[in-house]
Amino acid sequence: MRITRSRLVPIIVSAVLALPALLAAQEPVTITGKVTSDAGQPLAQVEVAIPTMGLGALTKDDGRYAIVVPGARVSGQTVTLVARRLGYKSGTGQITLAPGGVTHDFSLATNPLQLGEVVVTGAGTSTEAQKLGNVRNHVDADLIQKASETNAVQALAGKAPNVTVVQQSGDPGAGSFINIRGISSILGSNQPLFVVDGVPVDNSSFSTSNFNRLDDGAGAVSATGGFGQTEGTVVTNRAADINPNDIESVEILKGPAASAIYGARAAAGVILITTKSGRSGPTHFTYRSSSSFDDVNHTYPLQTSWGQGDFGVHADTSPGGDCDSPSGVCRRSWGSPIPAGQPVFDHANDLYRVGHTFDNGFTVSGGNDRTTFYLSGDNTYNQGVIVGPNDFFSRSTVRAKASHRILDNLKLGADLSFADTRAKYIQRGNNVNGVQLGDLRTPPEFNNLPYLDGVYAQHRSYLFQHPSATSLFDDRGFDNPFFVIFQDLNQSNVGRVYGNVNAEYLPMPWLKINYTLGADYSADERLEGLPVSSSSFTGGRVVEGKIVNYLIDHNFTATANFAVSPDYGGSFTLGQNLNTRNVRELGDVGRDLVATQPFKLSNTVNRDLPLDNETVIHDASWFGQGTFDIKDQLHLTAALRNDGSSTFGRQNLRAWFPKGSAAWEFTKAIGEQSWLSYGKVRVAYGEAGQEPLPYLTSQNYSAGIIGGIAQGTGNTPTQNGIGGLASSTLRAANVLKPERSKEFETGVDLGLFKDRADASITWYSKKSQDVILLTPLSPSTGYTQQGANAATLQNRGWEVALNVRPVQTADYGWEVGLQWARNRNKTLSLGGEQFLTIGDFNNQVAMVGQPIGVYLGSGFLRCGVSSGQNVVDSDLSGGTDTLGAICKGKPNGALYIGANGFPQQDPDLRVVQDPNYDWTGSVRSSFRYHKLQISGLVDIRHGGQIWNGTKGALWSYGTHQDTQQRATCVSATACVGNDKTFGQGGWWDGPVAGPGSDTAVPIGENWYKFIAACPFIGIDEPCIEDAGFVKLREVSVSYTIDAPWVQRAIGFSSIDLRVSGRNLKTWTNYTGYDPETSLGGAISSASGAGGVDYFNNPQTRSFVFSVTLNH
Amino acid sequence: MRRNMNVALASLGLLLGTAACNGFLTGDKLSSDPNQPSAASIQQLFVGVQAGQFAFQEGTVPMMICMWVQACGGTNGRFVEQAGRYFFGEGSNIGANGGDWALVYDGGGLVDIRQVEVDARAIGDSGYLAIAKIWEALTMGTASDQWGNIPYSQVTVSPTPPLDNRFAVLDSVQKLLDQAIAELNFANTDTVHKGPLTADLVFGGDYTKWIPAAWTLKARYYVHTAESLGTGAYTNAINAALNGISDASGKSDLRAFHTTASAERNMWGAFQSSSSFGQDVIAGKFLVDIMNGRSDPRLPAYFCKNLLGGYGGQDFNTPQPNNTVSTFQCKPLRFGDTYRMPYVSYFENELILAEAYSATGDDGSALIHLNNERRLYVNTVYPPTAGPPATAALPLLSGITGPALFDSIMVEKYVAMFQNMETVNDYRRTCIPAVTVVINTAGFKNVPGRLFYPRSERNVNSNIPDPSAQLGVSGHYFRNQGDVTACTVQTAP
Repeated sequence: MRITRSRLVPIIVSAVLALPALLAAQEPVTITGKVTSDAGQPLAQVEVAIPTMGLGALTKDDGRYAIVVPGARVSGQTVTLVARRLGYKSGTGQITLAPGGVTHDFSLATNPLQLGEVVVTGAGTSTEAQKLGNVRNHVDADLIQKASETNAVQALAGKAPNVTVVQQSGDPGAGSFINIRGISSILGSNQPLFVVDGVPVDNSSFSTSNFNRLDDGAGAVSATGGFGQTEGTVVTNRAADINPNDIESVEILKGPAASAIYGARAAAGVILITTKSGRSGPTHFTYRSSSSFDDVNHTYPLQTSWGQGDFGVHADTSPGGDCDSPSGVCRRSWGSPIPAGQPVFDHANDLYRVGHTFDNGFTVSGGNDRTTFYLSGDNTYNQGVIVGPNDFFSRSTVRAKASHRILDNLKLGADLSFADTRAKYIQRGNNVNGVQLGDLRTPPEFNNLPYLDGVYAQHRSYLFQHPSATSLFDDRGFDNPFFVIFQDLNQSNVGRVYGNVNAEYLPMPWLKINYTLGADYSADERLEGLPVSSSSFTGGRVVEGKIVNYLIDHNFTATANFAVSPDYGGSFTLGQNLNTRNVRELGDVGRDLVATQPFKLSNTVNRDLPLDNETVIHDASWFGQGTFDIKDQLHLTAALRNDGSSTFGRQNLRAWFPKGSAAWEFTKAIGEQSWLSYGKVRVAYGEAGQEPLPYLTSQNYSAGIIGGIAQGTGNTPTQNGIGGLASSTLRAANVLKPERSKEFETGVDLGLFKDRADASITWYSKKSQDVILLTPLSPSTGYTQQGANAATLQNRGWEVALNVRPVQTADYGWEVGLQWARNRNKTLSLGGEQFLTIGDFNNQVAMVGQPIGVYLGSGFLRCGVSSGQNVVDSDLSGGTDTLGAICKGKPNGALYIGANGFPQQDPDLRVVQDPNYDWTGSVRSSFRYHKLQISGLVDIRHGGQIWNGTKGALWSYGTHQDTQQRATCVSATACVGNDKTFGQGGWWDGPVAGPGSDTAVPIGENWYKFIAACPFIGIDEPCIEDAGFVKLREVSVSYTIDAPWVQRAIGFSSIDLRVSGRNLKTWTNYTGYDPETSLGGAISSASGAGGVDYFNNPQTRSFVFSVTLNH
Repeated sequence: MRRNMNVALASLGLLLGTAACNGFLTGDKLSSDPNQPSAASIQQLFVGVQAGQFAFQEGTVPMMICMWVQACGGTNGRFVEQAGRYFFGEGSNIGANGGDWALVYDGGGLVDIRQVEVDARAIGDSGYLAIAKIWEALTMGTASDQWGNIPYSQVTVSPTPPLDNRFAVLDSVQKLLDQAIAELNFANTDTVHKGPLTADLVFGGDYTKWIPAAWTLKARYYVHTAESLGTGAYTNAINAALNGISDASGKSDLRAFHTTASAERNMWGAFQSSSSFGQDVIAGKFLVDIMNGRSDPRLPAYFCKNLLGGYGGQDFNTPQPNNTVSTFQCKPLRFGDTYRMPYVSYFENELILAEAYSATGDDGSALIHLNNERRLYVNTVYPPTAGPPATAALPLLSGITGPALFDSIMVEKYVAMFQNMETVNDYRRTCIPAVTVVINTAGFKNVPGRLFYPRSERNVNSNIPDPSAQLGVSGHYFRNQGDVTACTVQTAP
């Protein structure tokens, strides 16, 4: 508008006339007060605000707040003051702004069902908690902080029913796999989509071993297109780049009924992370420092009585003797008794120390009526429990988040995070260069220190005890564990930037437009170096590669609110999303170092075929969501998303995903009862998908490895410099569409006994159809697999949560929370096949009628379990009969004992292991006394089985403590002593059948090495163990010091002191390191193939001390 | 107000409109795999086939066979030793041999061999076509040797191809070789088409070497039916072998091609160098004792010296002192990275002739051919380029007839064919040498007669019986068609 002279004059006149009033209003108004709970307890971190003016402040630890209204905005008006804090019902008050001060106190009632709180429901939509038609699982900053976990995903363990988190091991940076409501895909990740402040982010895991196709024996293709990680080092998950202290809250959308708004990427649920923001008011500073003390929570029991050798004969350990060669009698500890007085070494413990995590961070936040900001910086350094300098995870993060209201109806924001994540790992797993394999197999009398001999400074191992001048390149058999620790290099350096710019525009009071443009870029540089004299790679080996991940996400929503009448109203949201994801992996393996250092590809003599892989995925989507509220008690929601994806295939470029839900707050109709203060029934249905892996519709030729006897062997189609190709064993799929999970969920949320307790019960049924699998083809047709929408999986379960607050006073309070969940997974169809291998180490399968991930392995002959047609010994004199005949009258499952007194292998495979838990649960309790708070979390997982291959191997090697009692054997079949009878006296107790049933047989090398050694023999049954556990996951004791002297002495308003413990105690029948171990980590678990333990590194327990200074 | 609304609606329309274009979802790197080629030439496939078949002929099956005939031993209790102790099943990582099965049929195997044949026909190149057919004959014949009845005639027709009778497979293979020989004869006169030339890693495109190799292969497969068909099979074998490889230099043997590159090495050598499991395969006492007994000049080419400075092997039933057992860790010539293992050779041809003549009563001819093989310098087991070593041949035999001659022939073949899967075929047929069955807890009372079908095939192909049914009603005696009698004692026909 142009101002003309004629218009200017009246303006000046008016201003002059108004001057006295303006001058009178120059004095600012200070609003002060105190916020307490209804029990009288001062409440900190309560946001007190005047929404119409955009002013506000946070309460301090004493519950007090102060808001200063600039004099220019004071005109004696009456405004509404609102006090909000999660977990409490909001309070409002009317105050009149007048010169001087105004005081207003609030008493907030607890709000266990979070009624009235705004809940982010994804893709730019939100609602209020009571309107949700599906169960809400919410984790706030306080719970994440109490977990004291470096990895934000791990911090979610035990926090919500049916949200299962498994950490690969206790290594610093070890990845955590998260799954919600069971496995619903075979090739997909089965991990929820991670969305930070509205932008999907990368949470992938990539094993450096994937760069090394020749040596990596693992087989299963994963969601990332990579392979398993059963060797090499642990792998982190990229959500580990998030600083947990930056998280304000986490909303868990558990399945399609809640997550359908994310369409084809949401079948496994969505984790919505909201980061902390600044709030208007005084600038708030915090400085936090913590340090932890970590140690191994359980070690393997090892025998210390028997020495190196075989069949009772002590190995020749003299220079130049048998044990300067990695084969033969030196490999195991089946030798003669170790003479009294000869030292033995504690291989179970001698690798470990007390590890530490040092975490230091700060935040600065604040703002005014138009601008808010939040800044944080943090460094976490986790030094692992394995000795030496090469076991650490370090993460430095910086976050800046700000918003500015440039117009009354237009707010712009930006949210930028940078993470620098550096780690060094230790080789472990199925790996002769792994620390565990060489350590636990070491005979008790061999000292692994020094790991370099004193004369030639060469690698010495128990299989190669006396290096010589010419032995530098001789094979050591298994690496000395200290050589692995100190000489190997396995590092990952990640630089990552992610964030978004956003705008919120309100063109009309009833219309809100949101726009978010987000990006996530990371570059992960990997380097693995095995030095000269490493076992199997005596010339040394270098794996060097880089993973670049780049995504852009554009999300636009327009939300219109409407009210037909006071009793009828709702909203309608229309949105659009464009998403691109680019992954580039480039790496190679160099063999035989030119010089002993550096570990660089350029310093190697030979190079393998490089891995040069890229994937590009584009998605384009529309979505709409409508809500309708009737009489403020019946809340209806319906949404529809149309997704297009480049992975769908040209014939099916787009797909629809609907959802609908209803929530009825029935206590608003029937009125509150004496025992029932709130009640809501809810029902929801939704469909969400899983995108196909890219390029399954392309028919290709491969230049990769074919054939081979074991790791390290195999041919490329290219030979002698002449380019060769071989048909891919994967036949092109003609048509692929996204997997579709259909979920029905119903439940009830109750507030009980005047909110002294609340309960939530949910039942769900999720059927996943068109699940894509690599359909096995008869290899004799020339192809082994073909992608197809072929499988149907089902997950059904119950989720129950009960929170009780029996004591709530101003001085003390006590709360108990119980969670229980059960998920039953079943493979309904595999498109005609009976089973499909999904494991990357064992033969874990998806099998019709079975939960996914069961192990189709080998067991002993058992009555009623094995085929009755098997021909077996019928008597002790050489007669034979069928197993069915022998088993007549015997109970089902009776162990067949042959004439030799031993059980026999069943030639037919059968299901020998189910890694899925029967149920999971947790108990959380917290106690408050004045400023002292004590809380604890017990995590329970019942049932499920794990394959303890480590123990099986140690049986074979004669180092496990079980072998301490042993028969004397001179051959595999000639043993005396340590007699046991199968089925009796605690030795394989249970019914038996067969001619050898009552025959006592010697148990020694004959059994442990030649029958029970599951990793080598192939009979898995002896290695299957119960995976259930009860774990004291968290204990936290905190105290807040906010006495006036704090302010006076150090200038901060309060000090929070916290001592917490993590994984302090585990009650389990599992005999390995920890039943939570996961050899293949997220990659294997994501395909449903968990429950495998083979020389993985141990888990840890921690004590954490932290100090937070608040200003 | 109105203006604001217009702005909002215009923005909305603009943004939503951008998603209407499906071009965002298709195109470069979106619709097709940017990482792998989608087409392959005949030469690229042919080289890949050779790489695949080198891997098959030197993979886990021959290692397992080597232990079953006790030319190799197994140690360290891991899968290698367990395979030698008959602990194997359709799910084992050795013995199930799913990977080997795939090498027969999948990329680098039959599917690509057939494509080479299709491409060769399309361009009218008989040389390419014939050589591909010989590879097919070697591959499918070997597969039938180890698994018996196998899918073959219907593999391109049915998604679940039925099992062809083993003799039907061998008959098909014979016809294939006949065609190949005829096509090679034609190719010799074809001045237009040049065949694979240097892409033929075995003979460099020399058809004159492929023709006798095909004849020797025919002789091998005739011999495989001899226990069942008798004299007729031996007569056919003689007729074929007389056209077989006659070049004693070894340069006409159908051999592998290997280099020092990590993915081009002799597989047995690579196994020693690059896998910790390689140490688990060691010398078999049975073979070493035979060779020690006659001071066989091939000993240093086969085995490392033991710690006592001599040669010895491991016995599955009677553990031998560690210092007496030879390993392969020194990578003797047979385990060298570049060692070109003979798959079909002059010395096999001579020993087929010797066996066939002996079995048909012509001891004189049999002895001649046996001595032809025994007089060879060890250079036939060396790469042709390595030159003859200064090692004497085996002394010639004379005056030996009947079963003793037959036994000598088969024992010599057992020694000469070390690492070659043919050794177990000879053993099944003749029960020579009389290896002692390994005391085992797997229930086997004989040396296993063949392999289980891999789980990967049985899962999909309903024509594959359960493992317990594969073992047969008499339990753990399963054998192939043509393997008439299980070997419990040494017998001569």
